[in-house]
Amino acid sequence: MKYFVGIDLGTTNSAISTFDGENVRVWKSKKDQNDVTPSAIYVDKRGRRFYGKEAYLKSFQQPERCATLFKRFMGTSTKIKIGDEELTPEECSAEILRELFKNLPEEIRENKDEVGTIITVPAAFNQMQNAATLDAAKQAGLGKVALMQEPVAAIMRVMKDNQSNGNFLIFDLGGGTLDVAIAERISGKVNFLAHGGIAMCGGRDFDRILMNEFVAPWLKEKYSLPKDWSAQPKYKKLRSFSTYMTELAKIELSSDEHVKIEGETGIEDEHGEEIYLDVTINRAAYDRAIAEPLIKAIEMLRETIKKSGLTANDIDKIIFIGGPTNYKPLRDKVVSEVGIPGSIEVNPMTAVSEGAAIFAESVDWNSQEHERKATREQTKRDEALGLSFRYESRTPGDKAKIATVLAAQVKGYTFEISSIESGWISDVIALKNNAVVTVPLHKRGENKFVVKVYDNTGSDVRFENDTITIVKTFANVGALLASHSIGLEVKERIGSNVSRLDYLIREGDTLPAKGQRKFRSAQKVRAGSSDSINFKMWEGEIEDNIEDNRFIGQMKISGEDFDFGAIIEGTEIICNYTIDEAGSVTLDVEIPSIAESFNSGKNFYSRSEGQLNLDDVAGKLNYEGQNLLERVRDLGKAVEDDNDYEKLQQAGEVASTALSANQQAHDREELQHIVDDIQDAKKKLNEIRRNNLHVIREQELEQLKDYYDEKIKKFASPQETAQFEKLFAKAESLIERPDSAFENILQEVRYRNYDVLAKSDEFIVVDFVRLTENPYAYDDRESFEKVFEAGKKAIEQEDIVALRKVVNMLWFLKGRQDDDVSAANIVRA
Amino acid sequence: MADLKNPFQVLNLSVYDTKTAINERADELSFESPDDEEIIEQARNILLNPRKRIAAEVYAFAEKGIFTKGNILEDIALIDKNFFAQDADELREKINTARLKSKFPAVQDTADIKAELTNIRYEIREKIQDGLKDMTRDGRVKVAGDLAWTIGNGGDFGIIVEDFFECYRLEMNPFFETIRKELIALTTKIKFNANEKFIEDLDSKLAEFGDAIKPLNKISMAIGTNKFHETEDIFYGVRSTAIDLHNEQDLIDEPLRITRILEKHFYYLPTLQEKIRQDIKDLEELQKNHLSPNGVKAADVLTEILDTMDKRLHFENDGYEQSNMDFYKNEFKLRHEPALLRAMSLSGFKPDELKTLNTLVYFIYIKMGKALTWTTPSESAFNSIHEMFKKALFYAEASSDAESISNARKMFEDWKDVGKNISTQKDSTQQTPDNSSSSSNEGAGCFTVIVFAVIGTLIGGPIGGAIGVYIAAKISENK
Repeated sequence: MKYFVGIDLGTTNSAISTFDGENVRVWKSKKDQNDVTPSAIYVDKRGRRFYGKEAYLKSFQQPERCATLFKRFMGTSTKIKIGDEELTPEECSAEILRELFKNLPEEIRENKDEVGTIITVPAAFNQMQNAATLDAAKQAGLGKVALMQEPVAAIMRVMKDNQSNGNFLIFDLGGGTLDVAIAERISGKVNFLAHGGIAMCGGRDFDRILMNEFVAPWLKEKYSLPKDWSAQPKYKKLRSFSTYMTELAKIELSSDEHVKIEGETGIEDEHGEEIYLDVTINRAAYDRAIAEPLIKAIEMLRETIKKSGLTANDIDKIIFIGGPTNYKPLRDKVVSEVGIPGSIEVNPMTAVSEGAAIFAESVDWNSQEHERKATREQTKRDEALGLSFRYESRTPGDKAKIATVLAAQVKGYTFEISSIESGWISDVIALKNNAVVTVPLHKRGENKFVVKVYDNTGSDVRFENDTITIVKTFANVGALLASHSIGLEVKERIGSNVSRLDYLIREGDTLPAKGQRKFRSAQKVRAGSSDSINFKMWEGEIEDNIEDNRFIGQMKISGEDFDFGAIIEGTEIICNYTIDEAGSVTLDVEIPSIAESFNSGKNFYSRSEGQLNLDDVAGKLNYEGQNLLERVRDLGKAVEDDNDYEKLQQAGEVASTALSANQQAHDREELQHIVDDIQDAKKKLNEIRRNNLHVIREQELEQLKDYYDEKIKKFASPQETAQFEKLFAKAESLIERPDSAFENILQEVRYRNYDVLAKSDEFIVVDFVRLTENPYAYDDRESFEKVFEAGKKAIEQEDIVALRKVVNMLWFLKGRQDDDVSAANIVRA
Repeated sequence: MADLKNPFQVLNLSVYDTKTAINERADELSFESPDDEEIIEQARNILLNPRKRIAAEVYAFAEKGIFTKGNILEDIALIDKNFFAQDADELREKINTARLKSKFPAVQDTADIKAELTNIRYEIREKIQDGLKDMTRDGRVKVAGDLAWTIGNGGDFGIIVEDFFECYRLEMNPFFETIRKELIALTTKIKFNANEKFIEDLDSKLAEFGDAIKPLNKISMAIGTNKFHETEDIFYGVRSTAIDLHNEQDLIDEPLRITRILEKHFYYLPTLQEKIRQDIKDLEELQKNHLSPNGVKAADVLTEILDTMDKRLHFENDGYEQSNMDFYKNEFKLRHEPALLRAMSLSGFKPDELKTLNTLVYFIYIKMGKALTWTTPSESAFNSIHEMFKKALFYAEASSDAESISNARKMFEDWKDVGKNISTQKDSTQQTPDNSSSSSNEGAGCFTVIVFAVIGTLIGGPIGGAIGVYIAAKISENK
C-alpha cells in the first residue's frame, strides 16, 4: 500500500489528508483552495451538481435545491429532498466523499488499489450510523476503507507533535457532534482509556439557539409574520438566509465583542413589507444562550473522565478541536468547569482528517478485516542455515530489538547488523539462538537493516531474507475501544418473563473481540415448523430494562432452517461471536443436538429494523413521551436525593417535549434531538432507579402488601394466606439482591392475587367488563366479538361457569397478541 | 474476564506493579513469546486501563472460596455462602490500598466491582452447567437431591444455589420431555386396557420422574413460589386417566390404585395434597358400595359386539379392494374395537375371562390381517395388514397365551418387511410370505363363521366356548 488517506466526513465541513509515513498533508478543495469543504450539495434546475462552498452559498438562496446536515440523519430512513430528487443520507455522503477524493492528486486517485482510506465517525455514532457510513463509502467507490472514531484520529494527530508522556483529553466539538476521548501516552505507546460523545451537539445547534433566541423573536417583533412562519414554505428562504447570517455572526463572535446580523432578505412579510435583517448580538448574550448545550457537553466530559477511571487531576491537558472551539470563552468555560488546562496545539479544522491519515498507515490493508499491522514480525527462515530473525517491526521509540531464531545450533558462526541508511553497524556477535541486538532508528518511517553472517573462517555466508525493515512511528496505538456495550437478550429462567442483557462486549472494552457463549433454548422448535429461536441484540448500558436500549438486530433460527429433529427446551446452543474494530458483530451458532450450524452473516446489524423515518416519527415520540411521563411520576415517589431529583425533572421535560412533538411544527433536526433526548432520559431514569432501588422496592412491596390486606386477604383460604405470607417474607429478604429475584416474587404475588380474586363470581363479572372495555385492544376483533357475545349471553342467563370460560378466552386472546413471536427465547447456560 | 486468563497471571505481575512495570513486562514477554502476543496485549490493555483492571483486581481480592479448583458440584452450598459474603465496599478498599502502591487512580464507586461480581456469578454458573452436562442422569439427580435436602432442612441459600437448580432444570429438560411422552403413551394404553402390568409400568415411570423433579419442586417450595408446572402437567394427565377409567368404564380398583401411586410420588406437594386426599376418599367410598358385576352385563356387551360385527363385518371382495380395505381399517377401529375393549375392562371379569377376551380379540385381528392379504398389494394395504398383526400381537401378549403369542409374533415378523417389495409385485395379488393363508374371496364369509366357532372351542374356559358358539351362531344366522 502506497497511499494513506484520512477523511473527516463532518456535519458541516469535511476534510481530506494523506500521510506518507513521515509527513501529513491536508488537501485543499480544488475550487476555493480551502482546507475544508462544506458538506453541502446543490442541484440546479438543469440537474447540474455543485458541492462544497458553492453549494453551501446556495443553501440560503435556494434551500429547496440544497442538501446540508445530512450526516445528522445517517442511519435513519429519512429522505433528503434536493429539487426533484430524493436521496438517502448515505447517497448524499457518498457524493461528498467522491468530491473530497477529487481534491487528491491524480496519482493517488488513479491508483485506488494502492490507497487505504480511513473515514472518521463520531464516537457517539451507533451501529446503524456506522453501517450507513460504510455504505456511503462503498457507493462512493473509494476502494479499501475502514472507519475510526473521530477523537481517536484527533489523538493520533496530537501524538505526531507531542512526544511527552501523560494523559490527554480530546474535546472535539464539531459542526454537529461532540466527541470526547481520553488517552494515555507512555513511552510512545498510546492507550485509549475512554471515549464518549453526544450525537446532536455541535456548532449547528448553537446556530439554532441564536436563531431561536435572538433572530426569530426580532423578526416577529419587527415584521408581520405568522406564528409558525418558519414552518411555512413561503418563508423557507427567510429561515435559511437568517440561519446563514447567524452562523457568520457566530464565527465573528470568536474575535469581536459585538456582531451584527444584517442584510436584505428579498422576502416580504404578510403586509408586503420587505424584510431587512438588523440584529445585534454580544458575547455575553451568546454565552447565556449556549450555556445549556455547553453544560450538557461538560457533563459528557465528566462522564468520560469517570469512565476512564481517572480524575481531573490525573489529566494533563484538554486539547480543543472543531470549529466552535475557536471561541475562547467556550474553551475557558470548559477549562474552568473541569479544572484541566486547555491547549490549542493542533489545527481544529483538520486535525481529525490528519490523524485519520496517520492511522491509515498503521492498518494492514491486505487483511480481510483491515486489522492493524503487527508490531512484531519474523523474517522467513533461510533453509540452509535454519536462520530467521524476530524483530520489532513498528515502534515509536528510538531503538528496536532484533533477535535471532535458529532451527539448530551452529558452531563458530558470527553475525552483524548494519543500517542501510545511516551506516550504523553492530558488533560482531556469536550466532546462537535468541541473540538479541538493539538497533538505533535514525528517522521516522522505514529504517532498513541488513544482516551479515560469517562462518568459522570469517567468510560471508549468503542467506535469504537478510534485510529487515523497521518502521519508526509517531506512536503505537493500543487497542481501540468499543463505543457502546452490545448484548444479547436472554431470559432469566425458562418460563420467566424477566429478561436481561448478556453482554458480548462492554463499552470501553478493547476491539477486536471474540468469544463463546453457551445458551440453552427456552422454547421448543420442531424441524419444519415456523417457530424460531430468536437472538435479539441491543446496544446500550441498561441491563435490567432492556427495551430502553437501542435495538440493533435479530437473528432467527426457524424450524424451517433444519430438516430433522427438534430443539427442545434446555437444548444447548453454542454461540461463537466476533466483533471487529468497526464494531460489526458476527455470530456463529451451533446446536449439537440437531448437528446444525447457523451463521448470522457478515454483520449482525439489521439496519431495516429499528430505523427511524424522521418524516413520520411524531406519533411514536408522543407515545414514548407518555410512557416516560408515567415512569417519571412513579419514580418521583421514591426519589429524595437532589441530584436524582434534578435528573428526574430533566427527564420530565423531555417527556413533555416528546408529548408535544408534531410533524408540522418541528423540523427533522428538532425531532432527531427529541429522539436522542428520550434515549438519554431513559438512561437517566434507569440510573435513578438503580440509585434508589432499595427504597423503590420497599415501596413496591409495601403497596402490594396493602393491596393484599385490603382486597385479597378476605377471600384467601388459610393455605393461600400462608403462601402469601411466605412470598412477602421472601420478597423482603431479596430487596438487596442485585438481580431480578425480588421482581419475580412480586410478579408471583400479583398472579396469585388474581387467582384468589377469580374465585369470586363478582370479580369474574368485573373482570369481564374490564377486559371488554376497549375492543381495540384486541387484534383478532372477530374472535373478540364472538367471545364478547358469548359473555353477554352468559351474564343474561346468569351462567357463571360459562362466563368464566369467556373470561379465560379473553385472557387467551389478549395474551396471544402480547406474546411477541420474535421475543428472545434463550437462557444463559 | 470470562474469555481471558487473569491478566496479572498472564504477565506474571501483581496488583502492586506500576504502569512502567506492566509495559516493560508486556514488551519483554511479547518479544520472547510471539505466539502469545495477542493474549499478552490484551492483558496489557486491561491492566493499563484504570477502569478495566478492576475486573482483574476483583479476582485478586475476592474470597477465594468462590473459585474452587475441585469439582464445583460438590461445593455448591459453600460457594453460595462465600459468594454471598462478598462485600463490594470491602473489595474497593482492598483495591484502593493496592492502587496506592501501583499508582493507579483510586476506584471511586462500587458499581464496577458489583458488575464484576455479576460476571463471576455467570462464570460459576457456566461451570456448574458444564459439570452437570458431564454427569450421568442419576449422578445429577443425586447431587440435586442432596442439595435440595440441605435447603429443605432450613439451610439459607443465595443466588448460586438458585443458579444451580436452573442449570439442573436445563440439563434435565430433555429427560422430562421424554418421560412426559412415555407417560402419555402409557396412560393411553391404560385407558384402553387397565391391566396390572401397565399400571406397574406407570408406577415405575412416575418414580423415575418423581425422583428427578423432586429437587426442583423442593427449591421452588424453599423460595416460596411453589411452581411445580412440570409435575402438575404429569399429575393431572395421570389423574385424568384415573377419572376416565372410572367415568367411562365404571372401574374403581384401577383408578384407586393409580391414585395411590400419585399419592406415593407427589403427596409432598402442597398444591396437590388436597386433590389426592379427596380422590382417594371418593374412590374408597365408591369401592365400598360397588356391586359385583354379573355375567348379564358382560353378555350385554358381547351382544353389542356381535351385533356390530354381524352388521358390519364383510370379507367379500366386491371388486373395490381399496374401499374394502378402508372398511377394515376404519369401521373396525370405530365399532368393534371399543366395544370389545369395554367388555374386557369391566371390573367384574375374572382374570381367566379377561384372558379369554384378549385371545378373542387376538383372533379377530389375526384373521382380519390374513383376509386383507387377499387384496391388491399396495403400500396402504401393507400398512393395514401390518397394523392388524401388530394389534394381534399386542392382545396375544395381554392374554399371556403362549401359542397365541408365538403365532401372532410369527405373522408380525413375517409381514414386517414385506411392504418394501409388495409394490413391485402387483400382479401376484394373493401372495403371502408363506402362502399359508391364501384363500379365495368367496370363502371369506364362511371362513369367518368357522373362525368364530373355532374360537370358542380353542379358548375354552368358563365363557370362552359359549362366546365362540354364540358368535358363530349369530353370524351364521345372519348369513
